[in-house]
Amino acid sequence: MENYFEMLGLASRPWMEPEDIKKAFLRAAALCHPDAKRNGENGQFTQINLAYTTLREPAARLRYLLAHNRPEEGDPAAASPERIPARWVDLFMEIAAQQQQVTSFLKKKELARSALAVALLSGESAEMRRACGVLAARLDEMWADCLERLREWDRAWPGDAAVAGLEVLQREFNYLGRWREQLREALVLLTV
Amino acid sequence: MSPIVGIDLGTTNSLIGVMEAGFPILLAGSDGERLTPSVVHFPAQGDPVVGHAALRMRVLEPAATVYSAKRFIGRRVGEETAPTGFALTGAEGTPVRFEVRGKPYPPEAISAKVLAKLRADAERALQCEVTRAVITVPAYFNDAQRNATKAAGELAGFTVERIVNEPTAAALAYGLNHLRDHARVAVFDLGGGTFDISILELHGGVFQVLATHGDTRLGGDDVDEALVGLLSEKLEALAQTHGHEPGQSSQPALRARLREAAVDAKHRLSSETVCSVELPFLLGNDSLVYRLERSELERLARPILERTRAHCIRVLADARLSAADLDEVILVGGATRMPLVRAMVEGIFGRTPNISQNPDEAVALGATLQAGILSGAVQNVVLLDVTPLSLGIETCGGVMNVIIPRNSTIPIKAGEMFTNAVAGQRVMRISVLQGEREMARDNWRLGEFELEFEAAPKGKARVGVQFEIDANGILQVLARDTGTGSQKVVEMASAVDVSDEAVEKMLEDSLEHAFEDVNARVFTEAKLKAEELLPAVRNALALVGDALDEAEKALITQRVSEVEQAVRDGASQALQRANRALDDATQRLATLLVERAMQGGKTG
Repeated sequence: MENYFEMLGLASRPWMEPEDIKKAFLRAAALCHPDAKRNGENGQFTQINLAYTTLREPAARLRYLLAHNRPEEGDPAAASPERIPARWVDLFMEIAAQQQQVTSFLKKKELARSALAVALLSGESAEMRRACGVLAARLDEMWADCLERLREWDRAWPGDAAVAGLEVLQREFNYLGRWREQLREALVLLTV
Repeated sequence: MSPIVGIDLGTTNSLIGVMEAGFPILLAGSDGERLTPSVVHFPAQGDPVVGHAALRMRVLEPAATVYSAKRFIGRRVGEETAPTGFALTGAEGTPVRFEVRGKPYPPEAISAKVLAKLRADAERALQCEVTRAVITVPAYFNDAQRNATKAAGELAGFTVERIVNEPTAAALAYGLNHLRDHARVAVFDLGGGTFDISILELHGGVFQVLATHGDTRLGGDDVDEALVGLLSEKLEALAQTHGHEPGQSSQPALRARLREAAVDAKHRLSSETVCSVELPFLLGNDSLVYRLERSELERLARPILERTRAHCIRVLADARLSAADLDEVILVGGATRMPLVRAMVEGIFGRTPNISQNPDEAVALGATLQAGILSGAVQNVVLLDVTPLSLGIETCGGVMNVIIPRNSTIPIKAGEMFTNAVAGQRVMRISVLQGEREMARDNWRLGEFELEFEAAPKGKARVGVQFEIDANGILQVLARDTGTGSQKVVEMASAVDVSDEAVEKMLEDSLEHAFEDVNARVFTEAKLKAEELLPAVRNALALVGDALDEAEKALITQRVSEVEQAVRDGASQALQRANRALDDATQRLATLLVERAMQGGKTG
């Protein structure tokens, strides 16, 4: 099977400008979309589509890149159970507690039948949005820091040190990505 | 070869177009009008009548005139509760059927009649056979609704070359004049029965949908219905003053007249601030005349239209954008002519909406352009659309396991490997779901299929299943035989395709008891609401009651006692009305509470 990076005409590297990935995808998509070829054949496009979804976000991209650089051992992320980095355990607990609060609050809000009952909850809702916002800002900072480290490892790529460093980073991106997603979702649900 | 036509199959009106000399042209019917009402009338004798002629018959014979079929297409009974002048039949959970003159019709058969009329009009205008079509659907339509729309096209004698999303089509119509630009636009599409909000990026000729959201049960129809409710009250008052029987407003013929007057008034109030609703000789010699102000229409419409807000917030979050990142917010769909809609869109997105597109025609023009892309008449333009709903399967414990997340670019394929859970297991049933809820039961069940395993020890038999969503947004499931590597299409038993006999039997079982059940349910629901509302009012008064003047407080006290009385009487309709009145009376109280929360005060 053709390499995802090659399919999009990109260099097989850890770092990539989001704009460049998108441009590469759009270029390839315009050429092989079933409408452009007018043969109704989806196969090639779905491959390009899969390549783009995989390479777009750092966590999935690193996982793919690392797996393809040591094919004999398979997918390292799949092989070893993922542990939360030790220095993030407290943060994880904090996020989990926050999530739980939001979930039980949303249940209460969902049960409210009248505009007035919802309005009575608006104070609590605003307070929760603020707390989620603070957490989200912290995660954004950590994400930016991870991106910075990704650029650094990219300069050391390819090499054993880089592989080891990127494996750690892959897990961090994975967790951060998921937590940011959860918080984003919580904020939307608290807003609507 | 037949030309490919583009069709906007709307809840209220439909249009058809074709590419001519590189431009999309909309075709007029034999009556000279491009808009064809999506209405089908069944006369006592002779063939069904479609379009304007059918619309005129709706007031005369409401029970034999079907409209808004799109609200019911691909749906099961119980999902769609919009009131209609014609009869709906079917047990809860079975496919919807309309009953006209004693015969059941599935919604797609009605849509097919509308499509066939458009096809005949096009053939007359183009003087050639027309057998290929692109048909639009609301972006938020699920797999069953898309399949049913495609089936309607086929029933009308078309090969359906593509199902395209309405807001995407509208973006195409808008974007064709901006092909050199790079722009981010939102398309706010509020039609007769459905609402979509899509965000797209235009990169030269590539139109990429970033995210879409919507509600397939929200549209101008709902505003009409609210207005009919108001006019019904006026009718009942008129009946009382002149000594007619009460309950006049539930008569289909009168209701159809009220509906016609409501629609007309709504249209006029888009440009005027006040209009006179006149229904001469509505009850014998007594006429209904009512002075309707735009502000009163807006008071009725606001809670309905307010429902678009959550979808707009959601779609921005899914596209990872804020409102300020957008270059334009384009309005399409007839209901966006309402000044209130425009004001709300401006409030949500913080910018004056773009009204450059003809709200009725943009979608049909876009569908025609997509037809042009498929025929080769339009070059170097490609639409990259998305699937609106997450696709998944039910896992043990009743949880939905997402296989293709919402807003994934289509066409897309995703593979999943299934293994036997116990030794020697030969079959596995797989439930396919669409929706965003965590629990399988809260999502739409698309259907089920069975996988066959080789006899093998636990975990050793494997079958790979490929889920493919094509460019129409329609799912196909392929099972790969691990031995031969050959793929075979898995037939899904769709939950909407129950056989006709089964349907008729379920029908007979359920029809008679429907009324009592509904009444009991309405009361329980209304009582629960009252039980919540009463303490909420007490709380709110304690917190922010000081800000109200005496008259406001007195009104609330009176409304509270009306609710309490209705609960004691056990009268469901009265309780619903009383609840609504108390809701209205406490609106300012709710606003005060929210303002207080915004300022950081605690409200408990």
